[in-house]
Amino acid sequence: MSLKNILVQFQKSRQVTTALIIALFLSVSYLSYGVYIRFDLSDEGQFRITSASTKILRSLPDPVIIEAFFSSDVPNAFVQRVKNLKDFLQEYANASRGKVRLVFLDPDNDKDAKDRAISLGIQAAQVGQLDTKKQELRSAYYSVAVTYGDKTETIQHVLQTRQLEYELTARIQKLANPGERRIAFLTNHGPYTLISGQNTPPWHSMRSFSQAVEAFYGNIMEIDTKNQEIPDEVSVLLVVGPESLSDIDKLRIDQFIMRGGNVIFSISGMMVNFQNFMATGGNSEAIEFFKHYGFEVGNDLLFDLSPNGSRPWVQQIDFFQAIKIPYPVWLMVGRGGLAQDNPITTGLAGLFVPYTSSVKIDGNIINKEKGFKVDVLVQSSGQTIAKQNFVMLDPRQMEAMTSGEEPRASQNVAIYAKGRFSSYFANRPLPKDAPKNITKEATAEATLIAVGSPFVFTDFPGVGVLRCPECIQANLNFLISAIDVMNGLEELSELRKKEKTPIAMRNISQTTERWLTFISYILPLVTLLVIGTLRLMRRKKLAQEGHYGV
Amino acid sequence: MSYDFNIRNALVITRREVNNYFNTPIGYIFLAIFVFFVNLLVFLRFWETGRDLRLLFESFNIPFLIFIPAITMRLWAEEKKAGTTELLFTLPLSLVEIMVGKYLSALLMLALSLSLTLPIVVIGIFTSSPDYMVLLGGYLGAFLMGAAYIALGQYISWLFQEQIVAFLVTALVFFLLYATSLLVTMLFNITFVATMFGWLKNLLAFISLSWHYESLSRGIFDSRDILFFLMFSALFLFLNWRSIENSR
Repeated sequence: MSLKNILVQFQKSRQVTTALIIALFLSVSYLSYGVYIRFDLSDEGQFRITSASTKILRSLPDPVIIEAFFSSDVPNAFVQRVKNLKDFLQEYANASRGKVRLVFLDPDNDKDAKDRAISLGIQAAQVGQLDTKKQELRSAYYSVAVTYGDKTETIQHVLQTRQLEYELTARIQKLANPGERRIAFLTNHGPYTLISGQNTPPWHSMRSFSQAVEAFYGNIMEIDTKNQEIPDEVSVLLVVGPESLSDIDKLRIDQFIMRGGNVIFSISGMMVNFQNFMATGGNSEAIEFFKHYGFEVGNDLLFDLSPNGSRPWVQQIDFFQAIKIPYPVWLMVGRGGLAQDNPITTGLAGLFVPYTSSVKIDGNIINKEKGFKVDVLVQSSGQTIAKQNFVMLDPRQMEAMTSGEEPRASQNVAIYAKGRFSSYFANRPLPKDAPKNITKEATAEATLIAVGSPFVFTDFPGVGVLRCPECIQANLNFLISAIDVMNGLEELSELRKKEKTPIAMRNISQTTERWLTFISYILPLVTLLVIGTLRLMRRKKLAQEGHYGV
Repeated sequence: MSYDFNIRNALVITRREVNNYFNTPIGYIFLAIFVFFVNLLVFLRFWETGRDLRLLFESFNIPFLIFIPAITMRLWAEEKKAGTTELLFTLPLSLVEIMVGKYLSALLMLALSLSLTLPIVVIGIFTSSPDYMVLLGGYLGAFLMGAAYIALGQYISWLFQEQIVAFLVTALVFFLLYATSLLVTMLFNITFVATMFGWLKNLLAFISLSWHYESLSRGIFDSRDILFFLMFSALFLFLNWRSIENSR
C-alpha cells in the first residue's frame, strides 16, 4: 500500500482523525509549557525583572551560577507555585544576558544533586496543606544556591516569587561587592529586643525585623554603648525606644554620626503602658539628645481621626457580639502620606504606625543652606490631633479622648536628613571617661531618620485582635528600604517595593460600605428588570401590530 | 459536507438564540442568580481584606459551574427534544455556521453576565486603588475560561435530548474539571498510583481550567494559558461538529 493510500485511509477514518485531533491538543498544550511568551503587566510585577536587577546582573564582571533545587514530586497545591518559581528563575537568567547560569536540580531523583544539596547545607522541608478534610504533607526540596567566584549563598525554602528577585539580587550584590556593611542595634537601653523570648511581648519583640535584615546584612550586632565602642564596620545604628542615654552613650553615638555613620532612631514622646492601657510623658533625655541634631520628637500622641477604610479598628466582644471600634491611635498611612521623591518611600503602599508621637524639624539646625537634604518621609492625614501629658488607650475611651476642640492638622511621623551634623559635644563638657581624640566636626555626611514610634520595628500587628501580617510586611519594607538607601544600595530598595501592601486608600465610613454593598447587589438586578420589562413591552406592541416570532 | 462559513449567517443563528434566552424569564433569572452569588462571594471578605478586586475573579469559579451548564443545556438538547434539528439543518446554512452561531450566543450571555459584575469594579476603583492590568487580565481570563466551558457544554448538550440531563452531566463534568487538582491529590496519595503514574500528575494538573485562569487573574498574560483556553474551546467545537456529522 502506497503512502498516499495510507493517508486517504486515515482521512476516511473519522475515529482516527478525532483521536489525532485530541492527541494534537494535548501535545501542543503540553509542549507549549517549554516555549512561551509572558507579560506581567500587574503593578506588583512578580514576574517582571526590574531594571535595577538587570543593571546589576549585566554589569557583573564574572558569571554567577544559580542552582535551583526543586523536587519534582510536590503536593498538588504547590505544583503551580513551583512552576511559577522555575519560570521566574528562567526569566531572571534570561534578563542577565548570559551572566547567570541557571541549573535545575532534583535531589529526590539525582544522587549527585542530593550530595550537592547536602554539601551546601540545603535540606528538604515539609510542604503541604492541612485542613479539616485532608492532610497532605511531604518532604520536598525548594531552595536556591547562588555561587559567585568561590563563594556561595543559599536561599532556603523559597515558595514565593514575591521577594525572590530582591533575595537573589541582594545576595549577588553582596557576593560581588564583599565590603562589610553591618547593622547594629543599641541593646540594654530599653524593653525592645531582637529575639522573642517567653517574657517578651510582641510589642517589644523585633524578631520579624531582625530575621529580614539578617538575610542580607548578616546578624544584627547588639551593641551596648555604655561599655562598648561602635565598630567601624557598622554602617547603620538602630536606636529603638531607649529609656535612658548616659553621657558615654551619647558620646559614642555622636562620634559614630561624626564619622558618617547612619542612625535610625525611633522614640515616642509618650510612654505606652500596656498594663494600664494608658500613655504618659516619655523619656526627655533621649529626646533632648536628638534635638541637638535638629529632630524634635513631640511630647504627644497622635490621633488620626480620618476613617481609613476597614482599618484601623479593634474588634470588641460585647455580649457575644463583635463590634468594630475605630482606633485612631493606630495610624495607617497610605501612599498619599508617604514622600514620593525620596527613594526610601517612593513606591511603598503604606505604613502602620501605632502609638506615635509627632516629629518636627528644627530649621535652624537642619536646612538646605547648610547643605542638608531633608524629607518628611511619613505624614499623617489632615484630620490628626496631638494629645499631650496623659492619654487613655482603651478603645472604648477613644470618643471621650477625641471630643475636645484640639486643632486638626497633618503631623510628621518620620523625617529623613542627610548632611554634616555638628557634634553634640561641640559646646559641652566631655564625660569623664571620654577618650581625648574626639571629633567635633563631621568628617563625612551622615543620614539620620527619626520615627515617632518604636512599634514600627516590632511584631506588634501580629498581636491581639489586629491580625495584620501585611502591616508587618509594610513596615519591614519601609525599614529595610531605609537601611538599603543608607548603605548606598538604592537599587535594592526599588526591588523590595515589588510587593504590594493591601492598605486601603480611600477613607469611607462603615455606613458607606453598607450602601455600596447594597448598590452592588441591587443595581444589576434593577438593570435586568428594566431590560426585561422594556423587552416585554416591545414584544407585546409588535404582537399587537401583527408581528410574530419576535 | 459543507465547510462554508459566513459570519452573517452565523449571526442570524446568534440572534435567534439570544432571543430564545430572553423570550422567557429564564435568561434573566439565570443572570440574576449568577450576579447575586458573585456579589455574595465577593462581599463576604471584600471590606475586611483591603478591598482587593482579585476576590472578584476568584469568585467566578464556583458560579460558572452552575451558570454555564444552565446556558448551554438548551443549545442542542432543546432542538433535539422539539425535533427542530433536522429543520435547522435544512436551512441554507452550513453546520459550522449553525454551531458558531449558537456558540456566539452563549458567549454573549457570558459577556453580559460578566458585565453585570462591573458595579463591584466601580466600587473597588472608588474605594481603593486597584491594579487595572489585574482587572483586564481577570476579565479576559474569566471570559476565556467561560468560553472553554461553553464549548464543552455545547458538545455535551448535543449528546442528550433532555435539557435537565444535559445540565446535570455538564455541571458534573465541569465540577470534575474544576476539581482536577483535588482528584489528583487524592489519587496520588495512593502509593501504587503515585509510583506507577507519577509522570501523569503534572499533565493532569495542566488540564485543570482554573489552573490556567489563576495567572491571568493576577495580570500575567502567559501565551500558554491563552493558547490552552483557545485550543480547549476549538477541540470541543471540533468534537461537537464531528459528532453531529456522524449522526447525520
